[in-house]
Amino acid sequence: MEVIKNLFSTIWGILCNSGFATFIIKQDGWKNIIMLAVACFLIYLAIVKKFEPLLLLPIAFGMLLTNLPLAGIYHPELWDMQKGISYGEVLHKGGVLDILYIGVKIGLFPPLIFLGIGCMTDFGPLISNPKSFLLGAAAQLGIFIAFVGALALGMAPQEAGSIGIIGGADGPTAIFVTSKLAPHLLGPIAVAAYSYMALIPFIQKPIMKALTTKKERMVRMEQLRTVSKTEKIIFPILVTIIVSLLLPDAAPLVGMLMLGNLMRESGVVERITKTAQNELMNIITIFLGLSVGATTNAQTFLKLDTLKILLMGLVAFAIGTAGGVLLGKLMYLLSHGKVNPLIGSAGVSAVPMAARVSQIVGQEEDPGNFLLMHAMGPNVSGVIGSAVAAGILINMLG
Amino acid sequence: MNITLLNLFNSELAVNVTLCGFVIVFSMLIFLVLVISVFGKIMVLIQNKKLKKATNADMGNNMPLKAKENNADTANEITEEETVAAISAAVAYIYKDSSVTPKIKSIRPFNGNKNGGNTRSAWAKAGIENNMRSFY
Repeated sequence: MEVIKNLFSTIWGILCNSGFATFIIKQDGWKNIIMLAVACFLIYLAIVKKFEPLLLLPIAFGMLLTNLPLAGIYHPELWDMQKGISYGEVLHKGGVLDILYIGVKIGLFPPLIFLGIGCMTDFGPLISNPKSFLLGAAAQLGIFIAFVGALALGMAPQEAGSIGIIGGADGPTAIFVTSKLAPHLLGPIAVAAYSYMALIPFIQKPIMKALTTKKERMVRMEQLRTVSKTEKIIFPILVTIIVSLLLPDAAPLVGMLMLGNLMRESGVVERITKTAQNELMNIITIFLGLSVGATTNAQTFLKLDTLKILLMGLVAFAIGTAGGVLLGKLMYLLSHGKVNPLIGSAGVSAVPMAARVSQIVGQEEDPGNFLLMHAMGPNVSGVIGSAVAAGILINMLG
Repeated sequence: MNITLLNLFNSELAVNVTLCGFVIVFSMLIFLVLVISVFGKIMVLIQNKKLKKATNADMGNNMPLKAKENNADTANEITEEETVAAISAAVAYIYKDSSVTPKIKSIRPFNGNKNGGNTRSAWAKAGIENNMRSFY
C-alpha cells in the first residue's frame, strides 16, 4: 500500500510540476495555450499554404517552443533592457534559443543574410537602367507613412520606426532595425513582415490595377542594354563607398549585400560564393527564424500593440506599392509612354516576388509583354533603398 | 497638458523624420543614379572604342581581298534591290482590293531590339517560364 501511495504521490508531483499544470496554476497561463494554437496555425500556413516557409516555419516553431511553460528554452527576463543585459548571465543561465538570440541582439544575423542575398542578386537590370533607383526610393514611402501612423496610434517613436520598416518588405532589415530600436516588438514585427511578404500578390495586385490604366499596363519597354562584367564588379564597390560614407548606419546591411554581390560577380571566389548563398544562408535562416520566433511569448504577443503592428504593417505595404506605382506613372508621362508604371510596384524589396507580380499583371493585359527583367531593377534597388531608410531610422531614433 | 505636449512633440518628430528620411533616401539614390549613369556612359564609350579598333584592325588585315569584296558587294546590292522589290510586291498584293494606296517610305532590317521583339533564345524563354510559374 505504501508503495502504491508513493507511486501516486510521485506521479502527482510530476503532474503538478508539468507544463499542463502551469496553464492552470500560473496567472494568464491560458495565453500560452492561445499562442500554441497561433504557432500551429502559422506552421500550417508555412507547410500547406507555403507562405514564406523558409522563415515562417522556424519562426512558428520558435513561437511554439517559447510558449511551452517551464521548458527553459528562452528566458525573456534575461533580455530586459531596463535591467540591463548581462551576456555572461545569458551564457550561464540561458537556454538554447537564448544563445541563438545573441546573434540577433548584436546585429549579426541580418547582415549575414544580406551577404547571401547579395550572392544571389543580379544588379544588371539596375545598372543598365539607373532610373530604377528612383522607383526603389518611391516605394519606401510606406515606411515613413506607417511611422507617422504608428505615432498617431500612440506608439513610442522607436516602436513606430520599427513598425514603419515593415513597409520596406525586407525581413532582415526589419529584424535589424527592430532589434536596435524596439527589441520587445521583434516577435510580432517579424511575424507581420514575413506574413505580408508572402501575401504580396494579394496585396499589390488590386492597388496596381486601381492606380493604372489599361493603356499604361500594356506598355512594352525597350530591351535593356548588355552590362559588362567590369561594370558589375565596380558597381558594388561604388555603392558601398558612397552609401557608407553618406550614411554610416546603413553600412552593415549595404556593405554585406555588396560584398556578396562582388564575390558573385568577380568569378574568382566561386567556392565561398556557393557557401554564402547555400550553407551559410541556410544556417543563419534557421538560427534567425528560431530565435525571432522565441521572442513571441504570450506576454509580448497577445497585446493590443500586436494588432496595431499588423494594421500599420499592412498600411506600410500598401502605401509602398502605391508610391512606386505613382512614380512609375510620372515616369511614364515624362518618358512619353516608354516606362510601364507597373514596374514601380516592384520597388518594395521583396525580391523576386514583387517583380513577378509586375510581370503577371502586365501579362494579363498583354501576354507578349515581358516586364520581369525591367521590374528587377526597381526590385533590387528597393533592397538598397530599404537599407538606407533603415540607417536613417536608426540614426534619427536610436 | 502633458499629453498635449507629448502629441506636439510626436507631431514634430513625425514631420521631421518623414521629411528628412524621404529627402535623404531620394537624394542618396538620385546621387547613385547620376554616378551609375555617368559610369555606364564611360563604359559604353570605352567598349565602342575597343570595337572600332577591332573593326579597323580587321579591315586592315583584309585589304588584299577588297577587289573580290567589291564584286561581292555589287552582287549584294543587286540582291537588296530584289529584296525591296519583293517586299513592295507583297505589300501591293495585300492592298490590291483596298482603296488605300500604300507608300513604302523605308525598309530596315529587324533585329528584335525594338519594343521587345520575340527573338529570345529557347533558354531565355525557359528561364522566363520558370520565373512565371505559380507561387504555391
